[in-house]
Parts: sequence; structure tokens; C-alpha cells
Amino acid sequence: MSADASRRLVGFVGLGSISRAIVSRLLGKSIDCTCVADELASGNFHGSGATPAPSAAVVVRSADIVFLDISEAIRRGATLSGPGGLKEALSPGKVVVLLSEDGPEDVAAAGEELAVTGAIVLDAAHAGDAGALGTDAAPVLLSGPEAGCSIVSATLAAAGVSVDVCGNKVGAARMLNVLDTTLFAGCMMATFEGIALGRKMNLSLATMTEAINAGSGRNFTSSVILPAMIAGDSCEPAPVSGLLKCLRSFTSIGTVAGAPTIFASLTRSLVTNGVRRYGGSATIPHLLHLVESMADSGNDSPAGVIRAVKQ
Amino acid sequence: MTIGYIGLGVMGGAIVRRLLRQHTVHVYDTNPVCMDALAGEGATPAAELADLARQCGVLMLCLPTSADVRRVLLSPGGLVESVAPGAMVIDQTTGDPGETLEMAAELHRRDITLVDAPVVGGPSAAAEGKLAILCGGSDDSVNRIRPLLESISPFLLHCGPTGSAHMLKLIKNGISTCNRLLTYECATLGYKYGLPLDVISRVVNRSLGRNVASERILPRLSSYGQTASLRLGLALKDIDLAVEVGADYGVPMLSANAARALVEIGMHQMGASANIDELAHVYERMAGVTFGTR
Repeated sequence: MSADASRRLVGFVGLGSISRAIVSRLLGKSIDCTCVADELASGNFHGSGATPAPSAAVVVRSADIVFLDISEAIRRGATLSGPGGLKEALSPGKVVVLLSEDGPEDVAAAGEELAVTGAIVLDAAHAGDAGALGTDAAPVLLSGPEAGCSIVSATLAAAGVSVDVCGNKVGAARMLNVLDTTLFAGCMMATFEGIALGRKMNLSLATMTEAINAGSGRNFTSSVILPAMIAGDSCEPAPVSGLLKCLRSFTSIGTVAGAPTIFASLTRSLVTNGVRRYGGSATIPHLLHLVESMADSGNDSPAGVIRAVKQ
Repeated sequence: MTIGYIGLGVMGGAIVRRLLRQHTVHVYDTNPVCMDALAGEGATPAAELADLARQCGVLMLCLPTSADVRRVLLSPGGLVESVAPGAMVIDQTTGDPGETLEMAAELHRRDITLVDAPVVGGPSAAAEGKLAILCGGSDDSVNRIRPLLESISPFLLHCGPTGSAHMLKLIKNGISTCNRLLTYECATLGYKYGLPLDVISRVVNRSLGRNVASERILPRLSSYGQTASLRLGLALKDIDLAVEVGADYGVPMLSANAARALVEIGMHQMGASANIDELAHVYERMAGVTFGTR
């Protein structure tokens, strides 16, 4: 592997939100990237300088650092073990950064399986506003062996991507993402519950938002999402499907670890209800509508929620 | 306008001290110690409630519950029997909006106007003039008392008609308590997983999960630092009221009910006079961990 961070070849299997943000920055600094992903042929990256690869195994074999979306790799028919599996393509000195929306324990298990090859395995996650991903305000979280974190941090720093190294245990980055997302989702549903109560007294969303934010009730939902709704803007800092995955991880890990998951379980039930009711493309306004519909506060649809918000 | 203030507890006393900077304030409390303390700071103690009512055109109250407000105002021998028509009553209790509406109607029949004006923030915010004052009442009523309230703090929010400020205070309190308990829940699982509290704090407080509770609690959790000044008994009273009002209005208060149960557990375990920060121990006990050393 080149000692010059800017001359390392970085590979991507799958182009989820983290990978897309990193690829854009790397290409902007003329750092070589090779990718295998459906998005490569789309408008976003075609002809941009990223080298298309025919398979996940080719990416893993050729790159110095590989951002490996496990789910994407498996979707493309790759396996971790066995003939032709990704493990065969790994070698000592390579750095693999696991990206996954699976639970932290699954990430850790995949990491252990791949680490027997001598490659350095890390995991990466994100716990902030997706729109600011890679900035100082919303760095990429990285965890794993220190040597690997140093290599990846240097490469990403050369591309202007902010990194927060948050531990030496593979899965820790994903766990922090799970904790942060659960806290966000729980505070959001508690806030929506308060909004539903205020609606029953015909209080305006603007007044409620201002009062909540004036004191100790302030949270991301009250300070960012509700003002966006009032302004008629879209604000989806995280997909509802992603919230549900994190909530499921939180509750399952909590049960095994012996930690209470009272609010996480409650929030999971509500969000699950929302997804069942509005479908897999449910949005955050759908969740507000769900809570309001339980209170029969008079808004007949998610669009009705937004119309009422604007009044 | 001549001001009378009834209820000189932690918040009532702090607000009176703020008012004394610009006004003459007549005060009354059943606790003579509170009366004497504020008399020593320039307040004019009233021997009886009726005396205070006769002298004051504006009566402000900060009592534990709306039932106490009703007793002081409307029970036999209550203030309404002595107060002059045209007087204003400002209720700064964390009250029941339904009760407030009923009392406002009864007072209106006697040509007395009620405005609900609970505050957001603790005694130190009061001392610094940084309370947020929520107001519920007509535009005319609120405008009449706006200069008076702004002498306590410039942060005034007219929420709507009478009762709306009390409703918003309950909503805010409910969300705040849920935020706190959710922060403990997430910190507990992260800690059991092996994540250092300072790392959890650093990541969460820069991310989607950040809230006032996480900003105050997480950096201090390992040292059990104080983040608020609120006794568990009062915290339970407030969240209990939010749940009850939710039921009255037909809103399933799922999160608030969960919060209520945990606050009650905390109160049973640590006592009603324990500070709200002690709720961390409820989670510690459930998970079998200790965040730091006391």
C-alpha cells in the first residue's frame, strides 16, 4: 500500500449514503476510486472518474482500502466465505471498512470472519444529518484496530472528509449510530405526542415549536424538523426504514445485554405501525400523522398534517 | 398597578425577587419563613390573604396545583370575596388547563380576568431574567400585563387563549422528561456494550439524538453532576398531570405514560425530595451498572 494517502486506491462495493459522500470527495481530489454499484451507471457517477469494476471480488482484490457494503455484496451474489468468496480476495495489509445497516453484533461477526485473512477490518457509520455527511458537523464514525483507523483517516482527510475514530472494537461505530438514531426516534415520537395534545386545544404548530424550544424540551425534531414543516420544506434526516432497523437492533441487543429498552420498544412499535400503515416509503410526516390519528386530532392524511401545519 | 404575589416557594420566591427590582410587591405565603425572607429583601408582607386582595389590582399566584389555586381564589373566604372588580389574576402555577378554563369563566362572571402565565426555566434562570414566560389569555389581557411580565423576563410567548399556556407547559414538561429518560436508556445500553460515556456524549451531542437532556446529562453522567433543580415528587406531579390531561383530551400519551411510571419508580426508590438527576440510578439498577463513582 502506498505510504502517500492520496495515492491509495479506494474501492467501494455499493454506493450508500456514506460511500456516495466519500466517493464525491475523493474524486474531487483526484484520488483513484473503483466501484461496483448500480449507481455507477446512473447520472451521479458515470464518467466522473470512478472506475467501474465487474464484481465485488475485483474491487476487494484491487483496492488498498475497501468500503464494503455487506448487504450490497450479498445482493450481487457475493459471499464472505467459500470458493470465490470475498475472503479469498483479501490479503494481509488490506483495509476493509464494513458498512452495514445490520446490527452491531452482525457487523462484529463479519469483521471477525474477514480478519482471519490478515486484512485490517473496521466498521464505519454515520450519526448525523445525512446532508452534512463528512463535514466536521457530521463526521464519518470509524472503529476498529488503530492502525487501520489511521490509514483510513489519513486517506479521507486527504479528501477533506471528517472522521471521528470512536473505538477499537469493530461494530462500535454502528452501535453509536444505533444509539443516536434510537434517541432521535424516541424524542421525535414523544414530541409528536405533545403536538397531538396541543392540536386538541387548537394550538398552532409554530407556537408549540417555539415553546418547546424555549426550554428543556428542545430536541432535533423540535429545533429542525418542525420548523422545516412549518416552512413547508422537506426534512428527512434519516429514512423511516433506517429508524426501524436501528430500533430493532437496540431492543434485541438490550434484551441480550440486560439493559432496559422501555422507550426503544415503545418507539419501535409505533414506527412499525407507521411502516405497516403507510408502506415502506413512509416518511416522518407520516409518523406525525400516525400519532395525530391515534388522538383523532382532525387531520385526515399526512398531507392534511402538512396543510394544518402551514395554517 | 399594585402587585400581590401568593406562593413564595422556590420559583415564586425567585420571581418575586425579580419583580422587586422594579415594583412594590405585597406577598403572602402560609410559610412565615418564606414571608420573612422576602420581607427582608423589600417585599411587603400581608397579614391575611384578604388584605392582599383588597390592596392589589394584580394578583399573581405560584402554587403547587390548580386545586390550590382554586382554593385560594374561589373557596369560601377566598380572594374573590375581597378583590375589586376589574382586577387581574396571573396564575404561574404549572396548572391543569381544564381547571384554568373553568376558573377563568367563574372569575369572568365577577369581572375578574385570569391569565395563565407559567414559566420555563429554574430559579437561576429567574434570577438572571432568562425565564421564558408562556401566556394564555386574550390579546387585551396579555397586553395589559405585558410590561409587568417583561420586568421578570423579556422572553414572553403569547400562546393563545386562557389555558393554552398551561397546556403548553405540560407538553414541554412531558417532552423534557421523556428526553431525559431516553438519554439514560441509550447511555445505559451503550455503556453495557462497552462504549465510553465520553464517546457516546461526543457523538450523540453532535448528531440527530442531541437534545437538551443529552447536552446536560451525558458529559456529567460519570460524575453524577447536577443538571437540573427539580425534586422527583414535583416531577411526578407534573408528568402525572400531563398524562391526565391527555386522557381528558383523548390523546394516548404512550411516551408520557412510560415516563410517568419510571419517575414514580424513581420516587419510590430514592424519595420524593431526591433531585431528578437521581433517575439515572433507576436505569443503573435495572441494568446492573454504575456509570461512575459517587
